[in-house]
Amino acid sequence: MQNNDGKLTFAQIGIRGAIMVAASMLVGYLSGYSGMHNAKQILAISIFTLIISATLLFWNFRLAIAFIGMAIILGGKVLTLEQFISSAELDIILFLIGMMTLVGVLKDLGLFSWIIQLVIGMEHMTGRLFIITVIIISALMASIVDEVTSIVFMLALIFQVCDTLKVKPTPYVIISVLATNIGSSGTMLGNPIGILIGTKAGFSFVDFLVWATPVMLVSLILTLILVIFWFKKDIQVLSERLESRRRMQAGLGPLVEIPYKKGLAILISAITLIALHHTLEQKLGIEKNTLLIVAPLAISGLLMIWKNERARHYIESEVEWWTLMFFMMLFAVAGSLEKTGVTEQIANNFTNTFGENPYVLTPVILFMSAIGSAFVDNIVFVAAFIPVVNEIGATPLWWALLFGGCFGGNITMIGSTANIVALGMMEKRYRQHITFLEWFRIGIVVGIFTCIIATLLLYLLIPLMPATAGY
Amino acid sequence: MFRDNTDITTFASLLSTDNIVLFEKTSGVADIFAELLKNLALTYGIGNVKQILSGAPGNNNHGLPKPLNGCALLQHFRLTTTDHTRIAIGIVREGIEYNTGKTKTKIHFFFLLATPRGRPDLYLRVLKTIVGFTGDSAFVDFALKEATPEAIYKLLEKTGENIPGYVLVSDIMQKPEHLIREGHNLKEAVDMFTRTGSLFIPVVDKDGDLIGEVTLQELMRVCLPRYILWMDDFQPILNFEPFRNMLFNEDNTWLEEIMIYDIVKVHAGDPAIKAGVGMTKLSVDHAYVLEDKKLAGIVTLQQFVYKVLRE
Repeated sequence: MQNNDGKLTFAQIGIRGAIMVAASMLVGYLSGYSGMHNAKQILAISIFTLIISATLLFWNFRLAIAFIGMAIILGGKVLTLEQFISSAELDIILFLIGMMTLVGVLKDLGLFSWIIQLVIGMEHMTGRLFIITVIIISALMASIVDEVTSIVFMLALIFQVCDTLKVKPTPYVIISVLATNIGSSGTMLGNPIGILIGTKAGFSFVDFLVWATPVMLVSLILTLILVIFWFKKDIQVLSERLESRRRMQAGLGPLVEIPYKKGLAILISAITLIALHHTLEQKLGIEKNTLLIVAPLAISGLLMIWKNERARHYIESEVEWWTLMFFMMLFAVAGSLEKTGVTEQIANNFTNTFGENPYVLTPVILFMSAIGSAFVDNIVFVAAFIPVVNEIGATPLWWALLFGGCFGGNITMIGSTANIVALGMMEKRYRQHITFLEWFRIGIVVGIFTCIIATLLLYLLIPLMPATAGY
Repeated sequence: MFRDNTDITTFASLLSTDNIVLFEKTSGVADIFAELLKNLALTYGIGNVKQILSGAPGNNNHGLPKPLNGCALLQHFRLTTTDHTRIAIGIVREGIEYNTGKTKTKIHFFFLLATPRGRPDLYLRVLKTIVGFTGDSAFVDFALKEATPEAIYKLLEKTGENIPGYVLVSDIMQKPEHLIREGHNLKEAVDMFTRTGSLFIPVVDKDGDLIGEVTLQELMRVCLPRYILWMDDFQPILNFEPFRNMLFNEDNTWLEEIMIYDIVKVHAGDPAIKAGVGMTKLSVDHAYVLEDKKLAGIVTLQQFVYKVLRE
């Protein structure tokens, strides 16, 4: 993948374009050997491969390629316009718009500034305590807002501390990203794949708290122990610098009195409303997950009336339209796989190969989605797998998909949006690159380690889980 | 006779004996340059003199003549009406009193340089050559003694002074006016900022080697970090609260804590454009010129742009 700011030469575009088209055609051709002989099936699977290749080879062009792919799918009558709209998962897109707007307001209200001040104002801070704090806050923020907001916010804290203490920020950036990706699996709100899986499987917010949060917490604690050993030299240096700064009676940054209470109250209200969506929906007789989608929108609407002079800013600048448009195209293309029966065929092939035993399928799906998510945007991989898991219909597999998608993102530096945002911020601020190997050395260990933990914990939970998802 | 100078190599190739004019000491500076401009216009057809002098669109000459080595003045015109670099030289053997702003000095040589507008390099390259021989006392003495156009032209030909192929950092740098040692504290730096009015101060170590800089911008960034800028509400910082900590601690805050190490460093012998590229890449407005790790000069963005686009 090219750097976000990097420009490709014509030769690079030509070579990568040829690889992308060749891969797309090859997969289309090979799909014939998997029992897919229908022209629409072949077109749908080729376009999906094209978009996967685009995220890998043409990061900056991925939306353009998704637009073109969608046009081919519609032009080729693989999907009708109505099917396109129903496949584009507008409910998820609206949910994400609501959450992004809410986060923008919370930032304005100083909630995130207040949390950072809480950390830099801690009196007996040591290197180890700082790591523990970073890991806990990264995971917590990722699970209650979203992974990108969490990493932007955490990096502001890390840069502040590292700049003040004149220490290299790389280890702390990596640690924060690892914790963010792990934490993002803890709730429905943490990662776009969480809300995608949640709405598709019919899981509620409470389902996530019951089945996903414990696995996330155990994985996080064990990762914490691992990184403390892994980065012990850096932590030692950090402790020494903190101690010498303490002796000088100098803080880690200016502390001001922030009126955080409004922001905190809004966040708690929003999370409570979202958490209670299932109960309220049942009481009010509303269709499942309606309140989940509506709550962030309604709260954002009210906040935009309150802060009406900033409302346009929240919508124009805080909502990541580029990403959301890509998601819409991706969901629609994944929908075309379902509509043409490709996913049913893949699911059949899958169960023919691996059987239907969840104890076998859970690690297979978890590790396949982890490896896929290490190299391709995890939402791409999960969107492709959802119809397959839906066809098989076993509850543990949804969770396997969630953990594979989230934990696999830690393996490489391009494994998730949080990683890419963090690298971009590092480069912009310090003009420093984290090398692929520098990341991979710890990423592969944490990635595989957490995937194994998640598999073992899911094994323990499988007997307790309902046979099929939903409520 | 004049030679085409699209690929100029020697100074003498930029003019002929017709372009060297002797003046009486009663002449005024403005008259001399007007006369030299007419001379170039008549010899080479560089355009309408009145229009050039009035700064008509496309031709510019900004500011007063540039004093060189206490004995010469250089007036430069960028012209759209010529593709060639032309020089006319006026000589006043007795010299004319001229106030450079700081001192009064006697000017003997008047150089009028006309360059194609789209070639900012030519002015700076020729300027360097003129500075070279007007700073050579043997040349000055001989030129004034044998002050005939033919003798001076021969002398120029004989010296074979080459026009440099490109402009060096040393041609556009300024001497550093102030610096601070790394062992100093923040209070001393803030004092220096307020005393000098400078926006940046280079920091040197105990051996005098340049190690970084402190800037007012960084000082502001330390006082107003990103997490404070996120807030929409100015109320918590209305009374400069974030600056209080710095005021309390400025005596025991070492420069190291607000020092920037990622600075643009070039060498005096590097092409001048390297300083421009470095400043643009780092989005800063100055570059430090080093000689053996020691600070030899500073190129500011303002000076760089002025030299290339206006002087």
